[in-house]
Amino acid sequence: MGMMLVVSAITAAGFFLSQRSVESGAQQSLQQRFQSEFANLLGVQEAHRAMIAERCRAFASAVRTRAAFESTEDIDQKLIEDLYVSAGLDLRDLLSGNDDAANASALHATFVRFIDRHDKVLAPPQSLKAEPSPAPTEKELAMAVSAVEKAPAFFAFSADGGRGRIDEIISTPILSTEDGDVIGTMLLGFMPAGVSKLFADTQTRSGIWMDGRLHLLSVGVETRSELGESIGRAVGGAGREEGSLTVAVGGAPHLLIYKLLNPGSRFPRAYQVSLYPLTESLARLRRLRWQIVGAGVLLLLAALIASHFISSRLSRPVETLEVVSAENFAQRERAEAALEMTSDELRVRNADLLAALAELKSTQQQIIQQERLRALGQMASGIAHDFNNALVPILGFCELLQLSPDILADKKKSATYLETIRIAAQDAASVVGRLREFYRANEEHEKFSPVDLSKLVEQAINLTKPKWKDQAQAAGATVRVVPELSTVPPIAGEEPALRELLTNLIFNAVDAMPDGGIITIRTRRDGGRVVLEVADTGTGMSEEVRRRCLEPFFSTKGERGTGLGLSMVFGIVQRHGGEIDIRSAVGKGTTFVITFPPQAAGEVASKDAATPLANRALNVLVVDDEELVRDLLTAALTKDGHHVELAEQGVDGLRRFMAGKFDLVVTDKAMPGMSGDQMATAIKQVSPKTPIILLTGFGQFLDKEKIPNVDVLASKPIGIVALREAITAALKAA
Amino acid sequence: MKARLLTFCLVVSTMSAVSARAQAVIEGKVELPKARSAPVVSKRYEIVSKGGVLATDPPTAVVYLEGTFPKGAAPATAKMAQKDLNFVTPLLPVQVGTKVEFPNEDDTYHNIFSYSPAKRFDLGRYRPEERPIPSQVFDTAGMVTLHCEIHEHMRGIILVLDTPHFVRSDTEGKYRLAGLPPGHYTLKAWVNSKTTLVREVDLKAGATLHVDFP
Repeated sequence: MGMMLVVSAITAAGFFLSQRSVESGAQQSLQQRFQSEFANLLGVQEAHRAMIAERCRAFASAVRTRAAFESTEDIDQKLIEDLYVSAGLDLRDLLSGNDDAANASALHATFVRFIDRHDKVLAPPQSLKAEPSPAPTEKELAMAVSAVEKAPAFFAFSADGGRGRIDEIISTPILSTEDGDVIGTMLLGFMPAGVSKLFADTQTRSGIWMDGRLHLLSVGVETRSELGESIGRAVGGAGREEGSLTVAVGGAPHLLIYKLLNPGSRFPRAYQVSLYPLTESLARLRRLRWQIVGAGVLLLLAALIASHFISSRLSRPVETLEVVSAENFAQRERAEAALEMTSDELRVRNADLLAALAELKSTQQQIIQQERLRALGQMASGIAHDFNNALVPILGFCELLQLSPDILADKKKSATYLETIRIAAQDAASVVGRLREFYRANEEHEKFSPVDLSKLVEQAINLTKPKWKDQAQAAGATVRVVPELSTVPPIAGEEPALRELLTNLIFNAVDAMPDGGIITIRTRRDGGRVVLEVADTGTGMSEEVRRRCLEPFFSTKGERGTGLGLSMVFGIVQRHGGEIDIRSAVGKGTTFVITFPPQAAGEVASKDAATPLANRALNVLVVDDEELVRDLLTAALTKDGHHVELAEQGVDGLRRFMAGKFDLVVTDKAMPGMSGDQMATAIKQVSPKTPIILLTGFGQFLDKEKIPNVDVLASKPIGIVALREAITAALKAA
Repeated sequence: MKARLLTFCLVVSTMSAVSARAQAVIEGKVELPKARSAPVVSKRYEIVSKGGVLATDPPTAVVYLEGTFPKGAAPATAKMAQKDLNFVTPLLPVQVGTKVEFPNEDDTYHNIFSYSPAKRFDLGRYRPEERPIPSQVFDTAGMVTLHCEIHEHMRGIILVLDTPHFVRSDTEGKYRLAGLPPGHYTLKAWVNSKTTLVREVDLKAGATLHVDFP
């Protein structure tokens, strides 16, 4: 029984608290509703004000208005008359029908005045009767003029009998067509939307408070002055911008919300004021309170009865418990048997699951393979793109040399050109080489050696000269490339890839500057890191383009672009462990900032260190079906002092080998009839010690292990240096 | 340079009929204000603009000699055309009494008017084929600002001067006034509606005086 008392006490307390919280919640939501109503009102007023201001602006910026004010410093009477007449016509809907101020719609203006550049009010002509009454007095106008500004300005008039009227004034500057100076002002007074009947409904009342006085239509004079005083106290001398207070109007409580309408204005501060009655909502609250209390008492009663009933039922089950436990035992036995069965089943399920998992894994492998193929496809088109890029200087310089014999005569110049062609060709070869790298993505592709970036930049500039100089000039644009290079520490990198990166960036910069411009390429040190900057003065990129430009197949060049250049750049930078940062402004240009990590101490050159030449004269058998290759090899080998014998195909080569005595065989792989590797096998059977070099265009795709009878596998195109290296290696291997 | 001198001579010779008996010459340079680029406000019409800014002519000055001169022949007719929604040229100096024609060379209406005290007029709307070409005689000295009621951005100035000796500077401010009678005069340089610079000058026959403004 004591327990019951405690329970009911706690429940009662709970009800009391919840009733309180409901009450305060209701009060808050009411406040919020009024606040949002108030905000709506301000919004409507703002729109109304903006509409009138726009009308004023249109009139003030009309060419005739401006011309009149511009004509002379002292505008003559005829022009003033014209001004007022045309303003009356133009703003007719705002100015007319205003005789009865009380019934006037909120849109109606109360007066219009023009002020000249010396702040003199231009009096409207007597003949004009459109002027609504009461007109502002000279003194009031003078005050308005002295406070002319752009912000919405409030200004009080007491001209309308004892009631007092308030006008909102919008001032609009009139600007000279010569230099945009302010040469006059147009003042338009209108009834503020806040006091008009437009927003008056039965519930809320709105008005404007200014200078200790409240302008509110539907409140008695006494209440009005009382309210005015309490607002004055709430606003304070410092002038709070907004707030609310509860006031009593006619004995009933009201919520009063106020907000400053003209912050920062030189006119007196004016506040929008709205009154919301709280009477009805308070009554509702009281009702709510009684409802909650009643419901609480009923609930408590019901709970008491229910608890009594339940406790009487509870004692009975204990007696039946014994019987049930025996039944339970039997049930357990059965359950255990069932469990065993289930565990067998589980084992089977597990096996199924494992099988499914295996299947899933193989599917995944397939998907990965597909993905790799797709990427390979993308890569192939990228390679075509880069290959074409590499061909540009080759073609360009070759044509140049062919077309201008005088350059050929200039030894030095032609040597530079030839060097550029060589580098480009080498790059083209390495572009193809990348296919292989890609195919075995995680194999020893990082053949990084120390690279001097500054030197590379110079090479790249020369390499791309046909594009940025000749092609750009042909298109009528002048592009200048300005290298700003400093001595930077070498970075660990792949020279052809980095050259390709630079080439791509330069091409891109040229394409971004259809009207010409400057490409600045900078290298600098940043702590231990090396920074490469390529800046153009071109069209720049939008934020969207900047974000996406590194994606493959994203291009802004339309048909001309593959969308691969920059994605390649990104790939190369990533491979080198570098970072790329793109700064761009539309119309100003783009800067690519690429930062490379410093070369680790151990990664010192290993490749260039040892290339001892085979310095003894050799008897070499060269087998190749292509005459050009034969010629090249002959020239290269003879120059190094070797003796060369030529064969055009496998069978012929074998015959010659049998007939002569050779220190070395260099053979092509794919030839009509007997292929190079078949021939090699035959030779090795006869003379296992003779070193054989197999040259092939597919070099990069072949595994040396699969062609056992060849000592060195060299890929075409082969340069003289590479040939020498191959010979050295072959001699060592055999 | 030669070409420019030649143009000067041409301008001067067409301007004053007394160039044969060249008496005194004034030349020099007027410092010009920076070109003001007015942003295009009205988008209602296709306006010849570059990057949203009206393609206005660069500022030039008008240099003229004030004093009493013998009455010469009636001044020739001048022309202030409207072309590409602009006045050509936007600054036109004329002698008092000159008749100025306002041919419309655009494919649209124009309505030229002025509220300036020196000459108040309103030509009304007219099309390119309007004949006779609308014109006005400017018989009071002073600055006349021209507007077009239809194209709010258009602005032209006719400077009505009470002297036969005047010249418009080039865009660098260089000017040359030739064929001037010797004597004491006031030389003025009109730079804009707010600025007219003044110098007293003594001209000697056959001499060239160098005057820079300011």
